Amino acid sequence: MIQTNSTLFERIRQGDIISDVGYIEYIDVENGVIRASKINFPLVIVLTQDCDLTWDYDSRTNGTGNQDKYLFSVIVAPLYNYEHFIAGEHLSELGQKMQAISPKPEKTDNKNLRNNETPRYHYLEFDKSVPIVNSVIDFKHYFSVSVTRLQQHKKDHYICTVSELFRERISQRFANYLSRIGLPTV
Amino acid sequence: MSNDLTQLWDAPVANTTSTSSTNIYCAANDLSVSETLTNGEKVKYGLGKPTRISIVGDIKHDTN
Repeated sequence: MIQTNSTLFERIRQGDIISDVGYIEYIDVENGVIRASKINFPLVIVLTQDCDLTWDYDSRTNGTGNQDKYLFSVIVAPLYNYEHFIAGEHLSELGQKMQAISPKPEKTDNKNLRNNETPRYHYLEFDKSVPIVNSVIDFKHYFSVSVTRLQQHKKDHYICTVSELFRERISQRFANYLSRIGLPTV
Repeated sequence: MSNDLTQLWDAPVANTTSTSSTNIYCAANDLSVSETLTNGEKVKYGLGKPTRISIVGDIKHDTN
């Protein structure tokens, strides 16, 4: 069970869970025609370190004489519905078939997922008072969003924020996943 | 809940003498319902799946 709080802060915080965040796949302009593709994610969690987010916000609001602490973007990762995820169907609307996980809690892959022993994923089980279904973060699917746009978007799409110790664990696991070294079989 | 993602969007204007064209529009692909209410339960977030939206249109040029 993960702890959350639902106090809405103006600035973006690490651990914020925000709904309906878009990822721009591409924008092409040719011969006066613009073509763009965007993926809308129902839920994302903010992974950027909170100190960076604090410095960015303070610099923008208080002014520091330079923009050295400004961020261009915020790292987020999608939260997938647990039921869709274990069926491998969570990206079916994008035409992607994903690896299924056993639905039986006693099976190794399912147990590892829910115990957060699978490096790529982080399982989240929310208290009943939080209106979010059990979810899985896929660290491989991280992307970035404009910090100013996300701050504006957050006003109407904020759900809750994962509490400090729990969000730091997610952050640590994400960093470990990104810095993993794959060894060849010899 | 409405899933109408069609919207008109004026692109940033360019300083040209081109004649004006149509506005940019948004065409939604693979819409899916993201929230439902059953038996009076609270709306749950995370019921839906990611969806892709394609946007195609002509750039509108300001002749000013």
